[in-house]
Amino acid sequence: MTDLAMIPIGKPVVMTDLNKIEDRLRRRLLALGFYEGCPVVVRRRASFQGPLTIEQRDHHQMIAIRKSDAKNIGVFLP
Amino acid sequence: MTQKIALLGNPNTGKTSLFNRLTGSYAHVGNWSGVTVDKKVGKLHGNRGQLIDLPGVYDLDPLSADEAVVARFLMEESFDGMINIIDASQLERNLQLTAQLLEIGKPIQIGLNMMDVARTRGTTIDAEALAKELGVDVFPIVARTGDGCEVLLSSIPEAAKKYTPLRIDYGQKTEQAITAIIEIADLQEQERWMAVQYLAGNRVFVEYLEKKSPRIIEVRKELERQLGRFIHAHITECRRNWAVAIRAGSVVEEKSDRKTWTDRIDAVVTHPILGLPIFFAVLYVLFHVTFNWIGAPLSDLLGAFIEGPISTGVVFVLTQLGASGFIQDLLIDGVIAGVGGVLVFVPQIFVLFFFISFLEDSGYMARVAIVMDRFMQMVGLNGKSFIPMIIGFGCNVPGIMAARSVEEERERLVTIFISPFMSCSARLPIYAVFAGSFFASNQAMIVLSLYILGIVLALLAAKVFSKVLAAEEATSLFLVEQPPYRVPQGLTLWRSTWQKGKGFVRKAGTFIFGGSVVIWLLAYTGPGGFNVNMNDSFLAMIGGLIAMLLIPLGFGTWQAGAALITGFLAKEVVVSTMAIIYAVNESELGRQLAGQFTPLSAYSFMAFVLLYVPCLATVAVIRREVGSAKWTWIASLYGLFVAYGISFLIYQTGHALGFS
Repeated sequence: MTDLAMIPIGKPVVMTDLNKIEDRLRRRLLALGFYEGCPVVVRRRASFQGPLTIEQRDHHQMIAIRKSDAKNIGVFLP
Repeated sequence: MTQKIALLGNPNTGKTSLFNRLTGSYAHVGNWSGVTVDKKVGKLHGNRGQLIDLPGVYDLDPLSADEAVVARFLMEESFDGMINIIDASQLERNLQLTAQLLEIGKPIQIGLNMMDVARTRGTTIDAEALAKELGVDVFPIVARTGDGCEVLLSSIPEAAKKYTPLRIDYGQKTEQAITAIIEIADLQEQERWMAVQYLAGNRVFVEYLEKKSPRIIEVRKELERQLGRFIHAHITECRRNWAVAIRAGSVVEEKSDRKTWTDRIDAVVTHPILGLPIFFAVLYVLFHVTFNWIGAPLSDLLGAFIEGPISTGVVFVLTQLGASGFIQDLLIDGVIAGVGGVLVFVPQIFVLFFFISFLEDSGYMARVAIVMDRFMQMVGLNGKSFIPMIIGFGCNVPGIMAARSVEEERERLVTIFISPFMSCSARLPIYAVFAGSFFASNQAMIVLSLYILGIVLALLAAKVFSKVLAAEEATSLFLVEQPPYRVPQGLTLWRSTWQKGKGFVRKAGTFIFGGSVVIWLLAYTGPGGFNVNMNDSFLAMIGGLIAMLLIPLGFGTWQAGAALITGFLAKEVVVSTMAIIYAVNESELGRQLAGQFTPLSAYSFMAFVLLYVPCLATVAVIRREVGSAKWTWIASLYGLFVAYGISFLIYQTGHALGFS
């Protein structure tokens, strides 16, 4: 188990832990179809430790979140 | 009968486009989440009642000020039905909101939008099967072109049919808690959805129901303990399972993993290294086209038309009518000089608004939020704050309202406070006059430098305000949906350009017209009576009051002082005032100014105008959005000190370095 910020671009992973992030961020992620057990992939990283663009692989939902938040999201490499 | 229909859906699904189609209104649309921040009411075609356009939400649980509008509306206001717009390309996510709306149990119709986007991703939705699964009417529509909207409109039910609320089984423990809450809080059976919202932690319902019956807190805590996880995570999971089942029954999916245009464009514009330079290049091109290529030549043509045929025509008519010299002077030197001086910039302003609309509609704004986030974080803000700032380039008023989509309250306030430093279109005429006559060869560069000066100072101010307002544990929320790019549609673009630009034209007919008459009268009269030498006029006395203070800034004349004071009404009035004072038309104005300003003092003056005070309309909207008189005063006046300091620095440093 590792965190989302460590995952190389294009590597398919599964979200496993949303317990460590802030409540509102978790609510928004859930509402956008990101949940524990969903397949995601990191698409891009902005410069200077900027936000990551991640995609929910089941329905191509693309969102950007901060790297500091991605560090608190646990993922599993299948 | 006037029935009220609420328009609901996820952000950026085309609700406002549909609203415009169904009501014939021209509300503002764009391709980013958070375009609509307040509810708007429109009259449905064919007298079918009222349609209420609400801000887009992913969930009824509000995380930002604009989202709270929706939950409050559903709880507090009475309405007869709902139209739920679903983005077909994100069916599952959209259905999670639909589930919550179906639970309410009001008549509901579903508009299935963006089927084309879904199809390019290999998803085909069977609308009839979906309707059967959901048990309500589903209409495939293309909100942007209007296809299918007529059918949707004509089937808005005349009389309210009886709809049974959707009942999702949330599992035994949760169901028991729901029953307990309905009992304790004394809710009706059809208000079950409120109990569900309460358990999911919806802030609006928590506040409302816990005030009514504090005992329900125990039920919620007990359930959370029993479930061993966040209740909202559990409830969302149940809704997701429901949505997955619906989707399975109505969607034919083929796996397609081809690279879309969006991926290709994103690879460039959000490139780790190129992203930022590209953003500034986009801004530069925007100004270059606005000033040098399209706007300026058109403005010159319009200027020549106003000075030539219109002025001579008016003089001819007035002489024919035998109008007095007073009336002739008032119309020619007052109204035509003042209003005409501003009107000639209409082409430039429309070009600018066109580009801003283009950026909004294309989907680029959501990328700007990514590119700018790190920098915005350094000053205690959020990448999302940059979207209101860019809107502010058009006009500060909608920019300040767009700040509502920034979730964190402190970040929202700071975004509002720094918005007046965003150089709005009303300041363009001033730059055009000054940059045109003092820096003719590199206008776009000079103007861009002012925009950047505004941005830099805004960021510095943000840093200070963030420090002052620093709350105990204010955590910033950054999650921005990245919609697929789309080519903005001609009609939509024209509408939003016109929508923004017409305010400018209207201002010319009201504020600037009235202002011009008053200013001309003040310049025409003085303690010595009528038709005095302008240097002895009331206007000169008023301007003279502050002229002394302006000397260190390089423009210590009563003319500059008078223009700045009147500029509080609306920034364009600065140009009107000068046109009246020098009693010349717009193209002459530049030459006249050359006698009073040097390039250095002109630049200092432009910087001062950019920063000194927000206009009257902006102050009013700050008051409304901030809700505190004290902060409105601070937000309106701190710019004055910044402006003085910066212009002082520019002029004195420039002088010391030997510029003139």
